[in-house]
Amino acid sequence: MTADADSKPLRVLIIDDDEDFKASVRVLLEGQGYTVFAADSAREGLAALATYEPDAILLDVMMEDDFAGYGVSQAIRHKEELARFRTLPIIMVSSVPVSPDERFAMSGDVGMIRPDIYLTKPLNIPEFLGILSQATRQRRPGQATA
Amino acid sequence: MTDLAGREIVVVIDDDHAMRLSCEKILLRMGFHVESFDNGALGLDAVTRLKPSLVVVDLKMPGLGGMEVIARVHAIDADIVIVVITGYATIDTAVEAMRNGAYDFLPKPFMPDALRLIVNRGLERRRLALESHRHEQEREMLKRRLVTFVSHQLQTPLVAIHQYLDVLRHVGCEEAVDPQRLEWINRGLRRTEDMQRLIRNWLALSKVESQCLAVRRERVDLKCVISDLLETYGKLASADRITLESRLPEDACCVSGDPDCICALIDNLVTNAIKYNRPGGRVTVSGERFGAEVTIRVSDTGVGIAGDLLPRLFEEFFRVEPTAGDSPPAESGRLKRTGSGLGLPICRRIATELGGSIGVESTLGVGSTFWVRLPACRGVLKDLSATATP
Repeated sequence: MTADADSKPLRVLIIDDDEDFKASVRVLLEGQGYTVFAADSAREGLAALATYEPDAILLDVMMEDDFAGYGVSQAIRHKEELARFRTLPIIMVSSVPVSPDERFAMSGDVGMIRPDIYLTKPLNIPEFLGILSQATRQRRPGQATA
Repeated sequence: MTDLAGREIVVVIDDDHAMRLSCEKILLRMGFHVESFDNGALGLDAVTRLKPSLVVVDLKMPGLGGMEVIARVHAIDADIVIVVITGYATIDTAVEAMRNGAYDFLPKPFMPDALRLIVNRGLERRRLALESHRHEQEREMLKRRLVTFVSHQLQTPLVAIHQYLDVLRHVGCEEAVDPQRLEWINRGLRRTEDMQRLIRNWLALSKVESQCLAVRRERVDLKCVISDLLETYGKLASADRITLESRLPEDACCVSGDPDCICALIDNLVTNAIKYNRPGGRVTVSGERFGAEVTIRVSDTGVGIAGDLLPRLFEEFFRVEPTAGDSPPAESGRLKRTGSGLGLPICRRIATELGGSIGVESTLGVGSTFWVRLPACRGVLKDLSATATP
């Protein structure tokens, strides 16, 4: 379950304006051997990408009461200067049980905003750790590490 | 309604030319925008078009009679004040006119002051009625906003508490941890889940009460709802060594309705079956589609419920209390754990609102089975989304 001890620890970037969520998930992930960087907003999160070089992002859909999380995921997928982060696994979280893209699905094509992984708060911990570990492991072999 | 100059509009309908003129004169002098017509059909057209505040109508006219005009004006807008004038006033016609929606009755001939008085009184009543409608609407809107706001304000901290406790339990599990500490964390989690369910029930109830269920109709597959719930409550059940199992058909069991309310319905039945079970017991959720109906059964292996209490289970705030004295609760057939007394009544209201029914069978010492029958959803997703209003 813990991050591979041989290589450098896996890095997780949490982008969420919810202090409680960040605090509890940080303790959980650090206990599992990950290192964690927490960003409070979409803007701060995007800025942290280049400096922190995470292996996965845990991204809140609803920040500052809007869908800022989708802005982050769209920027990563479509912005040229962020192209090298395109394959980064993004785990979207929200306290809304139904993924918002399912709600929007009624109004047409939502391929652009459909998250790869969508989890509901509070996280089901074993499930979350399993998904995170699988997502980062898949990525590490193909990633050129310094 | 008012005209462009801000004057209230009054429509006069009378076949008697002299009467129309004198009414017009009085009403114009009172500052109204007046339009008059010599027959019912033209008058009704004008009422539809102009949306007047008040209509003065003669009871006896050739063609469309006054009584018919009153009924139709009332049907167009019940807030339009209708004043009836007639030379053939009898108690009977007055009563009939009032029953059709007239505000007051003025026998011919009348003095200008008599008309002024009735018109002013009628319009004052209209103003009060409109104001009261507006208050009613505002109240309804505030209530809805309050429900959303409060539930959000309550749910956000609960989600945080839940997450902290979950992490504490998980972190604690790895080392040899004080069993007392773990037990308290589990109790805290259970309390938090109870409270989250209470909020969901409250939300569901407010939706039922504001008749929102009829508005938001989505296709919901009960198989997905049930498997999600069983996964969620696996932990809760395993704490009491209770096994959860489901027997569901191959095909989807779709019903149509508000997804939150349908989830609340099944959620209440499943959590009751866990809560009121005995340690080491079993909860079985089965579903079948028969004809145009889907039936879900939730069975427990708890102590059962005494037959005389079964009909009362779905009453609001009714709770099965342990009987004091003689026998211990576990053997008496009275449940030892109590809930809010809202879960089952809400289940019944949701089931009824969705055009279904709910019931219970129970054998003392063996267990209880709650069943809910809902109309199956026949159409394909596309057809349904076309009728759903966002």
